Amino acid sequence: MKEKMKKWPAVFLAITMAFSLLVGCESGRESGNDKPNGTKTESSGNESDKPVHVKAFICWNGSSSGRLEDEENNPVAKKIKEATNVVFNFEFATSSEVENLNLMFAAGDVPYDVVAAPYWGGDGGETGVIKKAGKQGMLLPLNDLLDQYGENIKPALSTMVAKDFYENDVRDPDFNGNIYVVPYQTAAAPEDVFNWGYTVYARKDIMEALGWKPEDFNHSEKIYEFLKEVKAGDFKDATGNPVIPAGNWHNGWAYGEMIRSFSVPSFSGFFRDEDGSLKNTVFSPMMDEEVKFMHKMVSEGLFDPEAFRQNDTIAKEKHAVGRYAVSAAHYPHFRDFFRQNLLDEHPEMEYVPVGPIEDSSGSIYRNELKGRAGTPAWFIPKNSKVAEHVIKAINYMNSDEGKRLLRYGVEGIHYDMNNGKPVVKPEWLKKMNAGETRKIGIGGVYLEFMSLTPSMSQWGEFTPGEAQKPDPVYEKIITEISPYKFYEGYRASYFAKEYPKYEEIRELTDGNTRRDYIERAYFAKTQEEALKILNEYRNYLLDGDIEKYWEFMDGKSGAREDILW
Amino acid sequence: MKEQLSQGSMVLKKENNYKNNILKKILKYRILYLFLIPPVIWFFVFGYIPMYGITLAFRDYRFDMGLWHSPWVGFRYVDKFFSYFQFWNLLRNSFLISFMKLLIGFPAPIILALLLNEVRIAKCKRIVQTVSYLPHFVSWVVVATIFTKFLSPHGGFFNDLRQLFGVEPIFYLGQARYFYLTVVFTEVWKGVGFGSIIYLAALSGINPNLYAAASIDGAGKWRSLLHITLPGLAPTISILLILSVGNLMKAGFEQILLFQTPATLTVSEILETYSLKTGLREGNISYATVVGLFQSLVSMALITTANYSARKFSGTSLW
Repeated sequence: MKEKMKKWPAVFLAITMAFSLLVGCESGRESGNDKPNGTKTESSGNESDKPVHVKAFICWNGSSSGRLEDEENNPVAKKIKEATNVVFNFEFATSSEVENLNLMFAAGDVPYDVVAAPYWGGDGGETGVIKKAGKQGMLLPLNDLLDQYGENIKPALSTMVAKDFYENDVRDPDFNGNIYVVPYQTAAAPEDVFNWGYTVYARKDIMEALGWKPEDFNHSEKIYEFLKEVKAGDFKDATGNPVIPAGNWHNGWAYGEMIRSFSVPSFSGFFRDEDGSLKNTVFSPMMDEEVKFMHKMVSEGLFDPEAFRQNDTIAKEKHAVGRYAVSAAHYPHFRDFFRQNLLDEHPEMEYVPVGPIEDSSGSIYRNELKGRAGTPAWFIPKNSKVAEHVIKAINYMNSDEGKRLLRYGVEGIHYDMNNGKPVVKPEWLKKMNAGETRKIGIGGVYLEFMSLTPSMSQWGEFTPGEAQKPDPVYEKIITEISPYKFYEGYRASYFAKEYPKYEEIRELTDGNTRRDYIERAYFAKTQEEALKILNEYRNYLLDGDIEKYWEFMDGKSGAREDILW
Repeated sequence: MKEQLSQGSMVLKKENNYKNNILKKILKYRILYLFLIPPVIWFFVFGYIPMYGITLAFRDYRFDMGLWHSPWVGFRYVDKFFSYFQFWNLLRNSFLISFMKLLIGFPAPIILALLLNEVRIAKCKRIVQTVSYLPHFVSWVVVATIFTKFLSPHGGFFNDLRQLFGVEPIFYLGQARYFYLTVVFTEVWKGVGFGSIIYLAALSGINPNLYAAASIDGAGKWRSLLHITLPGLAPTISILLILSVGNLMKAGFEQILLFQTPATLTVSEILETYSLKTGLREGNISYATVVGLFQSLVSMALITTANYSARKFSGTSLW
């Protein structure tokens, strides 16, 4: 009897174990209702008491810092629910965007109702994956839904985006007239174009100690001279450890600013050699100078060798204590990051923008296309059951009231209207600019669905409170240190698709391979060896018949009058 | 003729008896056999069904057609892989890293087990065992972060020591020779304790009377080790060696990926990291499958050869 009693638990255990193996294989979707393709659905949302839950995936690595405290009961969510009966539930990417997109589509069944992701144009990276998904029927065509419910969204397709980006990426001819992606984070009018203020930033106390002024940094070589003095000096960070002369944020962002004096201004990655022939910029003599420059920076201990591929956490850890004397990125990043840590106790360690730094042609201007030449974009996977509700909600978020809600919060509570412009209440201003309101949805994750931001044209400011109290640092950056110069035209790189061996060339010129070679050269034992690695990469391209591609591209010179090389 | 027939029927009878015996045994131990169901299902669901995925190597994977309906393209991606200009480099790196791991990482747990076996203070033995097992349960992400910090040229423990003696710091993860050292050392550090468990179990299975007899015959510790302990461990060592040889093409992508820097790419890019990059980063699922398939085929060839050699030379083998 005892034996039998022992057996049955064993049988039960074995069967349970066997079935538990298969539990994970279940596929389930919780949001929405059961009808396919989202159009004209009788969703649970039509039952007035039950909101429609939209599952949104924010495919931006590191975006999880925008996670909400309460997805249903924050002030922005309540208003959206009130207006559209929709509640957004967010998931965030915590690793590479392109890997997330590839995994998501390769799995066959995308478990989200809307996805916001990078869409920088061309056929590589994230854009390549999203385009492939569109062409292979994984995305929902939005034409009808936008016609019916998206009057506020539709202008975003073509307003303030570069015309080549619009023609080839937003309305890719291979989409056969279907609209699959909607750009966001675009300007509503020319005056709303935001200058991000990309440049080099140096620690103020070290600059002053060494007698340097921001305008002294007018060439990459000047940065080098400064860094040598930093290394010779005995400077410390906030924890008392020696400073590292220069570094950058995660994954090499954005040390390119330090080598700006060797960059060849180009819209399409081409330059004309002395003999007039067209070549990729990596064949430019300036590339040799760039490699030699970074090689000496690394080999002389002036640039943090770990910085090229360091992760976000480590990069932030170093910056938070002022470990780098010099770093680079855009202005909002420097401004917002240091507000919450270093500057509280060590205001003297403030990072200030330096320059203007000339490019290889001697210009201090940043060449920009009229309209964004690549944007973030959102799309709806074909299996979403609540597409109609997604469009309705995003349409509301793109109304004048909705845009203010997303950026400033609720009128009367967080801001008041004064002469037609929002003025943030004083008790909320500091919180808003410190990013504290992001967790309740204001100036946070919902902005992922806002197109055509009317910062200056309607609100009179890029940052809340700026209209009342202008930011002199930012003013200086956009006028003196990093001013934009606008061009209108069609980038030559878009002709590449017509090249018969386009796929081969695309793989040959893959940015990751290029980056691997160039950064490997920085670590070479000698300068000669560094140049040898650069030439090895050039030979790899030549062996892949890149010259024929150049000839083809050169032949396109007369195809249009507005070509930008 | 009659004799032949009776011999034939004898063979049949024997076979039937044999089958009946097996069935009887299965029936008798049916509860124990029930416990086989989970691993059988596991292998079927997660081992055999996904094997169909290798057909992707010969298809042009489309998101909408998936695994079953993507169009066949023959050897297009196979040709592409074999003509990839870094093919030999990938192969060399994969082999070299795993060979070094095998060379140093394989004997390490045996040595640790032998050393532990000699410890007579039980408490001390238990502490050493626990401490040495712990790293096995720490993920590679954590291990890589810890070691990256330790080896950092700025404030890293090893470089601080160097600077204390007036020597310039070194970016260990940025130099090929140190890269190999780091990879092998962290592998051993992480796996040596856990790997020694199986040898400790094998050691406890050796008859203690053998040691007593050897001692009477005048054998010292060294002799006992050579003539009793090691022969006692030989079957376990053989089996684990065969399995390790099968993994010679798998250098451990998680670890390598985390320790990789641009400076060491020429020596650190292996088949697994390349497969991950082409598959997930560039979206070439079919091409990545070819890389993975190639790796598996080479592993299969290696394990078969190792098994054959082990059977021939030591009489112990997996099958």
